[in-house]
Amino acid sequence: MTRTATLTALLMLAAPPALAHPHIFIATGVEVLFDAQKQATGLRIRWDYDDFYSMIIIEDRQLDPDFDGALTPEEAALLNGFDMRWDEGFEGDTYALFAGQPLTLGPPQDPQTAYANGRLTTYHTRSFAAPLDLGQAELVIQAYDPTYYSAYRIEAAPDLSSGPNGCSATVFEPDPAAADAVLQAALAELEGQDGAEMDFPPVGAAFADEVRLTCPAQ
Amino acid sequence: MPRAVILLGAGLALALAALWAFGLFDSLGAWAAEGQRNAQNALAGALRRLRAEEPGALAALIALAFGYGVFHAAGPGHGKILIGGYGLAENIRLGPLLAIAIGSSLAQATTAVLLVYSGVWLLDLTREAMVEVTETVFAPASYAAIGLIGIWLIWRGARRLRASQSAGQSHKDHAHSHAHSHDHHHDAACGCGHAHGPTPEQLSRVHSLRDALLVIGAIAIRPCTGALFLLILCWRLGIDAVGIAGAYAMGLGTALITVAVAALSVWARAGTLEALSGGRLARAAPVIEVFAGLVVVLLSVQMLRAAI
Repeated sequence: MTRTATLTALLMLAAPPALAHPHIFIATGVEVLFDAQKQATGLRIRWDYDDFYSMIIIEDRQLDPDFDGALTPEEAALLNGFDMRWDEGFEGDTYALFAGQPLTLGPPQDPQTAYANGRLTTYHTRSFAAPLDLGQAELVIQAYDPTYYSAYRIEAAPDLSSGPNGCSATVFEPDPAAADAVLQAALAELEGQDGAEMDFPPVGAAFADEVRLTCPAQ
Repeated sequence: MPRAVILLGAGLALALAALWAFGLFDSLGAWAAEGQRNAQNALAGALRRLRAEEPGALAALIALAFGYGVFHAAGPGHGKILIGGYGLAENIRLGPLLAIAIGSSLAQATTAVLLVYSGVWLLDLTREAMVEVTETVFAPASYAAIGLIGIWLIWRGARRLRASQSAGQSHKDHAHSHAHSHDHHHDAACGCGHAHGPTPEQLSRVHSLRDALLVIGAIAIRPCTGALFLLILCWRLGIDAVGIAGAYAMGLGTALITVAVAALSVWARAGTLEALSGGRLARAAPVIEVFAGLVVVLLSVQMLRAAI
């Protein structure tokens, strides 16, 4: 029975990341917003949509009729906020952890949309519940869609220009070996609970691109 | 085929299954997603060139759609699970299984075309609504159908297993075996070729056709979202024929991978039977059938849970 359950768990665990196919590809960038006291207050997130999905969004709305890959300012205004009407339960595909603890991010604000060379770019801001002193602990920002319908890639180091001096940020691509270790650990935990409800453990984040930020203590 | 080559099939399939179970296909998934990203961006470029009436743009678009299909299918997906499971479970020759694999991919493209054109002409659906109905209705329906076929494989295997066991017993009491002669299954355990009624070959042909249609149907219920995107985009741009051709090119690209899975499953089945040959052969075939059915059921439940 235990062996059957383990096999079941293995199959169930292994399947999700591999079974889903992404259909939207988003290159993402992030700017950390700081207040006058140089504490981090939120994130300004940039999403660059792939050419194909950009074209779909534009054609859906029958914009850019001359097909030159550019919009008039009126058309751009019409499009603004098209990706900000979030369904209930959609967490925005941006996740932040401070000192290892997940942060609650506010609803998306100040949407902005640009279209150039046939590619859509949108911006929005997510605020932290309280300002963070990045000198105290590491801030981790992850970009991923738990359903993997959209594939995110963090393409550039975050913009820290308004922060305190000496902050540094590193972009990490998912490490398959480390992600696999997380999966195995979750699996080992399940193995101890024969017959327990086997929900897929939240290991998706282990497969995500992430940014790790630290600042010198003040 | 030399015995070693046949046996290799079983080993290869086991190794691939183990790799998949331990998540090592994730890097393949990442590679495939990267390929799909490039194909998708290039598709947009080809559409632009097509609109600008540049020569060669149509050929480029069809080639890219085919490539998109290949990358899209490179990760494990619902069609491959069913084709692979069915090929492993059933005593089917490579030719018919390849036809099922190609047929299911083309039928999937047909579903996409039918959905998009009934959506835009009859039902006045938006793109979002079509994708929504695909994700919330057709995808779970397809996974449920695949799960049912898995259950059916288990049931069929279990029945054959019982039949082979009672056939084994009946050697001691030969008169008893006539009671089982109406069992129309014709696996190695059943030596009863009665002339009354359809011949086993005829029945087998009918069964295979019915099986083939069920397998194709279960896969084709769920249209590929990428094909929907391309079809809707081309409809918007007024180049419907290009979109339909592109959707079928995507289907053929997907078929390339499914065909490989089909071939591997037939090879793996032959290898497993060869490895277990001898006295246990009669029982090996239904055991494989039950096992393949079980895997198909497990994976379809997994997909269903992710989809709803």
